[in-house]
Order: sequence, then structure tokens, then C-alpha cells
Amino acid sequence: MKNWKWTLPVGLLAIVAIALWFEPAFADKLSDAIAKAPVGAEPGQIPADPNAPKGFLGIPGSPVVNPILAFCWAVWVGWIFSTVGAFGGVMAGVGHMSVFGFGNYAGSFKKTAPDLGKIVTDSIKASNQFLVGLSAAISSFNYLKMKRLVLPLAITLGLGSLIGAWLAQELSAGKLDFKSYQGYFGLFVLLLGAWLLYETTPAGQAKKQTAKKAAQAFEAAAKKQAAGESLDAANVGLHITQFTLSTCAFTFYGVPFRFNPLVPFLGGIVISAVAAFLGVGGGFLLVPFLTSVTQLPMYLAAGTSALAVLVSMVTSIITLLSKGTPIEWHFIGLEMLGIAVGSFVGPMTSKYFSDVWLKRLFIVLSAYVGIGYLLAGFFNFKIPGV
Amino acid sequence: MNDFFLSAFLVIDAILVAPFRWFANAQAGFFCGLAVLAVTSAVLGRACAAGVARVHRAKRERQDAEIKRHQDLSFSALAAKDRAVYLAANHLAQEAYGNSMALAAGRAAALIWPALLVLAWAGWRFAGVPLPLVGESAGPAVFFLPLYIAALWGVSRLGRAWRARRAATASSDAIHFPPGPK
Repeated sequence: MKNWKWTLPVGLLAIVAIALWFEPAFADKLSDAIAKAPVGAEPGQIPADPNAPKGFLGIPGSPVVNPILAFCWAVWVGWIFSTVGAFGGVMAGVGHMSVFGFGNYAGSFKKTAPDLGKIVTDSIKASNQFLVGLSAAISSFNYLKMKRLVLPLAITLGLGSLIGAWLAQELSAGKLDFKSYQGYFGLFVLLLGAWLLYETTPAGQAKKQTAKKAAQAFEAAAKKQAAGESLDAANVGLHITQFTLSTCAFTFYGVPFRFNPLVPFLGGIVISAVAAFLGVGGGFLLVPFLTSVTQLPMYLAAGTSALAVLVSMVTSIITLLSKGTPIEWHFIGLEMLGIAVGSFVGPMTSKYFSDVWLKRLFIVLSAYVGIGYLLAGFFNFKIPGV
Repeated sequence: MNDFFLSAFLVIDAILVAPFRWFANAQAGFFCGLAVLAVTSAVLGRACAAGVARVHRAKRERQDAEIKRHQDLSFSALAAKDRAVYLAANHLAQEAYGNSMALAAGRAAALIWPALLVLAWAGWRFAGVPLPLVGESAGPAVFFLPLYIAALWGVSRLGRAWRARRAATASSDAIHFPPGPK
């Protein structure tokens, strides 16, 4: 295991390559669903004209997205990633569902050709996940290379993530209609917006200020201490003292930590399942989970969660491909380029915007999008723009 | 507008398919073409990621410094057995980490977009074509991905060697050209 930092990712990618090996065998799933769809000019029907323009997934009559629009939207997503943060993932989903019109298109098949509608929904979900999760997984790899991880915890979390991602895709792929997906995605966006709002409230700010004050007070006290106490060299770093099915105990800087390995295992299942189901990266949930539930130091949490993110992403890809979910690679590639450009432009332009106002803007946006998707998905009530 | 995209696509297609025709033998040409595209994707991806990283540098360094400061503080708190301060500092480090990860997503996108576009093109170009060794049971991705990973690794090693060499040259220049009198 000396060269694990290479063997692990290469091994994971080899599994993806094997999965891709079988990809052409599943291409007929989409053709079969198209063949079953009724022919006509109404929504939810496939045009009778064999020369009708082929758009998304090569389906005749599906939305043809202008590459410039797709690119510009991805620049916007990348800009948000580099200025506001994780909200970019939500905007990527909004692009696929609302701006490019894939959502309405998938929804139109609910009664006429449910199989086709579900395949298109899976593809939208997979596109979201590839766009956000793949970037997160690659970013996480850098933390993994630093070897800052608690291996038993990483294994239990990774195992949970594998099961969660597999279960979510296995149970939802080919079975989820667009309206339900839209509703759940809306709920997620609404919760995210509520969290952002809480952070701007006096209560949320007070919690942060208390943490800052405690840290500053400690920093000042430490500076005042002449020379300071020397640490026992044996105590520095991580030492796992016990690992059983019910207890994982370790010391870090001499301070004992203890948790039940079942907790990260179950946490990994739930977080990865939610991330895979919604088509978002799970890293932004895993790290807070590790630091709050197991009280793991951030120094170790980033690396430990990285393994779980990678495992979860690879499991999702394999399960989606094995279920025959079609992916528009050129579309994802073009969007990745847009995100890169947006990420490039972001830091150059962010000085012209106030962080507070940007946060407020995204709270309003998440409330509008979240409520809109929730109403449209679960109550069939549409508000303009979503 | 559609004519413009079609013309652009035909030009790109002609460029991408050229290395596949460098050898008269179809199998050799196929592997040569994929290898050239893998190396090109890796180099272009690395260059784009480096460009994005350069623009991000100031913000990234600020965030990394913030993460490190809170992490160091949490270690000191641990050493002093002060759990409350440890948890507070750890929470602040976690917030800074979230921002840092979002920046890293942009760099990751810059790294892989060429490979995804090549994958898409190769999938379209070789659709229904029996490929060497695997026939029609697999797509070109099966060959492209390992080649791309190897190319990424090679480019990374070359970049590291080049930086080490440049650093060595810079340090030897400093010996030959000491600063002027004070």
C-alpha cells in the first residue's frame, strides 16, 4: 500500500473504465423508450417527421440548447463558485431544469411516455452530479494526497458512502419522474437558503462571533505565556488507541476522542444517498458532519471526507452507467469549460461586489427557486421563471 | 448561427481526427490518435488549471492562511486541553475550508474540460465502429481514460521537474550575482 495515492485513484478510474466498457450495450434503452413514445406534434409526443431537429440526448424534437447560452450559464455558475461558494451547484441544476428547458421536456412525458421521461430525468440528475460532484471529487483528491486521514473512520465513512450512493441510484434510477425530482431539489434549495439566512441573522452571527472571540482570547493568552509549555513529543499527532465495531478511540495532541463507528457509517449512507439522489456533491455535508458529530479536527476531516467523496462519486457513476443513463458528454465538457472561465473571471470582478449583498441576493434567489420548484414539483403550481 | 457552429465543428473535427491518420495501419493510427489527444487534453487542462490557479492565488492564499491559522489555534487549544476553544477554532477552520473547496471546483473544471470534450467527440466519431481488441463491445473511452490518466501523471511529473530545475537555476544565479553593496 506504499503507493496508495496512485493505486487508489487509478483503481477507481479503472472501475469507471470497465463500467464504460459496457456503456454501448445500454444505448438501446433510450431508443426503446423513444420507440414507445406516442408520435405527434403535442407536448409529450415524438415528432412524426424523421428529420425533426434532435436536441438533448439526440431525441427528435427535444430542446436544442444554443451552445453560447449553455456556455454563458456555466460561466455564471463558475463565477458563483469562485465568489459566493457552493451555491454554484444549485445554479447548475437550475440551468439544466429551467434555463435549457430540459425539465419541462422531461415533465411533458409523465403521462404519455413515462419511461422516456424518467430516462431524461435521470440524465438531468446525472448532468448535475457530474458538473458539481466530479469537480468536488477531483478537488478532494488533493486533500487525500496529504495523507491527513483517520483510516478506520475513512473506511467506515467510505463504506457508508458506497452503500448510500448505490442505494440511491439503484432505487431511483429509471423510477423517478421529473416532478418528484424537481420537488425534492426545491426542498433542498429551500433548506440551503434557510441555512444561509440563519447565518446572516443576529443568532447565527452571534454563534460565529462567540467562536471568534473564544479563539482570539485563547490566541492572546497563548502569546502572553512566556516560552510556553513544551509538548510531549509522543502526544503530538494522531494515535488510534482502540477500534472495535462499537468504539473508535484516538488521541490527537494528547486529547482523547471517541465515537461509535456506526455513526459515520450511517452518516455516510444518508449523506451520500441524499447527494446522489439530488445530483449534488456530498463533500459540503460530510465535512461539517465529521467536525460536529465526531468532533474530528479540520486538519483530518478534509482528508478523511475526501475518500468518501471519491468513493461516492465513483459508485454513482458506475450505478448510473450500469442503469443505462445516457450522458451528454459534449454538453458537460462545454459547461466545464464555462465553469473554468467563470472561475477565472470571478476573483477579478468580485472586488466590485459586496459579500453581504451577494449573500442576500442568493438567499432571495434560493427562496424563489426553492419555493418555485417545491410548488411545481409537489403541487403542480407554477410561478414565473422556474 | 447554425452554419457558424457547423463550420467550427468541422474544423475541430478535422484537427482532432488528423493524428488518427498519421499511420497507414488503422490500429496503430487509432492508438496514436488517442494518445496524442490524451496528451493534448492533459497539457491543455493543466495549463487552464494553472491559469485559474494564478488568478485565484491571492484569494486562495488568504483562505488557506485562514484555515491554517484556525487549525494551528485548534491544535494549541488541544495541547492546552481547552475543548471549548478547540471546537470554536475547528468550526471557523471548517467555514474557511468550504470557501476553499468551492474555489478548487473551478480549478478542477479547468483541468478536465478538454478530456470531456475529447471523450464526447470520440464517442460520436467512433459510434458503431468496431474498435481494436474490443470490437463493438466498448467505446473509445475504455482506451482514452487510461491514456489520459497516464498523460496527466506524466505532465505533472514533467512540471515538477521543470519547477525544480528552475529553482536550482535561480539559486545558482543568486550565487553568481550577489546583491550590490549596501
